[in-house]
Amino acid sequence: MTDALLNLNSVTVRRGMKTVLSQLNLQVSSGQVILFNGTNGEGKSTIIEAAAGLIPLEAGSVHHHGELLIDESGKGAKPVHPFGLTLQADGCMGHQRIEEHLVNTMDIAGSRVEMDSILERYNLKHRKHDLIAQLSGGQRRKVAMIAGILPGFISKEPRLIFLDEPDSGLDEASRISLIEDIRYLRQKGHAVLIASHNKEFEDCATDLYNIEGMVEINQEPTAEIVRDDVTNLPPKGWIALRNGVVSNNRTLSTLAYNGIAGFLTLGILLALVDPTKLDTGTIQKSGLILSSAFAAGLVGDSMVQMLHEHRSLAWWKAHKQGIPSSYIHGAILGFALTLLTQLAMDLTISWELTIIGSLLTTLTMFIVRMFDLTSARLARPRAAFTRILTPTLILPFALLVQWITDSNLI
Amino acid sequence: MIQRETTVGRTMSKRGAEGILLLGFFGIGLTLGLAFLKAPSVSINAFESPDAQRIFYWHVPAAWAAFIAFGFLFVGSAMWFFKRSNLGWRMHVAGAEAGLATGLMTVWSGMVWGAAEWGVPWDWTDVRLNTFGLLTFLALFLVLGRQSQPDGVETRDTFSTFGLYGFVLVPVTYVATRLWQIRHPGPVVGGGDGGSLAGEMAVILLVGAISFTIFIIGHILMSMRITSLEQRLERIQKSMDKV
Amino acid sequence: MTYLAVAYIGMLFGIGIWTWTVFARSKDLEQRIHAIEQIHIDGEE
Repeated sequence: MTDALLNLNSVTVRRGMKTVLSQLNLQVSSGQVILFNGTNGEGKSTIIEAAAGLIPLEAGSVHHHGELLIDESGKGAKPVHPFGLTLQADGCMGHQRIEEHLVNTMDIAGSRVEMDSILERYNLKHRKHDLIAQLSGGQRRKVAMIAGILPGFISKEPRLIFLDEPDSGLDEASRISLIEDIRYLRQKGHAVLIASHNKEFEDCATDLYNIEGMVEINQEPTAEIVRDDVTNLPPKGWIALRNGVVSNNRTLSTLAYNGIAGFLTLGILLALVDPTKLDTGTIQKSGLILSSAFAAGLVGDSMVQMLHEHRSLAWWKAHKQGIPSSYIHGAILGFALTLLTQLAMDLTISWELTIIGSLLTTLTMFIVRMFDLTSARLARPRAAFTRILTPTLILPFALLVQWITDSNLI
Repeated sequence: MIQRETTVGRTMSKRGAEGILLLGFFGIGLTLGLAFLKAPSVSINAFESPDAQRIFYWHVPAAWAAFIAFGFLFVGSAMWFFKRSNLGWRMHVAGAEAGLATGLMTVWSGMVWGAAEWGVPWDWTDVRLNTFGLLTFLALFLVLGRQSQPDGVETRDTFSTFGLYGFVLVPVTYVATRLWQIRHPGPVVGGGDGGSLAGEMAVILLVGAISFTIFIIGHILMSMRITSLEQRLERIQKSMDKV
Repeated sequence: MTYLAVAYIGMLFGIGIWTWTVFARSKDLEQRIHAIEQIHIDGEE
């Protein structure tokens, strides 16, 4: 049990109306490369995603390195030994640079290395600073695949590497490099799980797995593969937070998404209400000051939209390192909007109120984001109108306004 | 032969559900008619707008029916979420649909009354008004959301989570508004001064309560039937896909 | 009183339409199932 890197114990998974995996038991040890080559709909991706802790289990449990990752009650822990993951849908956001996505992977894996040699092997070095959105489908696939195998290059300890259709859209040279790289990872003692129909992987796999069970492949001992020894540098923390900030700075999404709602609300209020006619200390007045910050928050978190691109959300969720958000930009926006409202209404500026406005936008954004994330598992998350639930927030807003009015903050 | 028997059984239950729903509907019509034409006017001093109190005859029973429907929704959500019960999912769907219907009736009638009595249709300080308003929005979300998704564990898990969220919402809303002030009149029946309702009024209210209860039971049965029909259609289509 | 009458009629009308849609949905589904079962049976013969 303890020397197995991966343990699936009687795992049952349902997807849609079907039971895709039923009472599946699987043990993977160091140095094993398992190729899942079943036909479509046999649950190859499901096994990979269940093993990465991405899918809720109906029954059973998944252990990594002997530690519980997830069980049927949904209980689980952050993986003690980070793993490598390539999702079938790439799992990277279009506005990220290639190097950023790979740096994220390395920071999650525990240390940074010089990535140029790997990028060169896959003919991506000249694209390093490009946005992922600028790449072709095949190039994006390569980035996603490299992100999956990188942890194996970094870690001296055995690690789990999950590769779901890593070869789809890859040119021949890259496929050959990939197979060579997988052999190298095997030599280093990592365990690799590959879902693919491609027979070429049989050259590097130690076991074949399909509906009939597992078959061992006798691999001729190959010459030791030598790769440039990587120099490990310490990782940087706050991965999700950092990515949220960088994404927002680059796309200005919070300004475009939440900001516009806030500014419009402010504009409409100023056009309709004469603030000088409102008595200080009334609910109307404090409500008016906070309305635009509230409206900005009600729009939700633009990050969630971006995370739906190529199933990035699943990638972040699997690594359990937090999920990028727009909270910091939301807080700045709320601050600015409340301040601007007070200036526009020609009031003495209350800094307490401005900070409350800032917190209000962030908190409202957080709750709407929770609604969005809760519905992320749906087949069509964007078709479920979570905004219908936002009236739930009006009552707390009203209570806040009442409290501000009672405590004479303005 | 067995096939035929189940078909007969199904037709029976269908007729039953349809009959109950129709009976409930006509009962509601009767209640509204009685309330509008028969119910006595109350003393002018008690209310700002004395005729508006006639709305209670459908506001109160509708709220009662919505309460039953939301109960079904929560129990169903929990049954699916914790026990993976198919019946639970059908109860969730039926509760959401019936809850939306009666919740809208309650909120709408409350707003009509509020506009006449308070001068404003909505009061954010009021406990029951807000609770019902929010639950109705939740039901609307669940009904629209479910229609937008293919059936499956993901869909069912997600919406039953939101169903349970609504369950948490009720006490929270209650506490939140208690912190504020209360403008909604207290319970009509069994309030402080016993027997505050005249005999005729009590009868109409009783007719209302019974009709709405019948209506909601009929609606829940029909909704559950519709869900099982949808599932049957899905199954047949799936089996035809394989050929 | 006019206001109230409008509210009453609106309400009754609303429930009427709602109830009708419930019936219509049930009927529609039955017809679809019937039609599809017919194809299914014809296909088997």
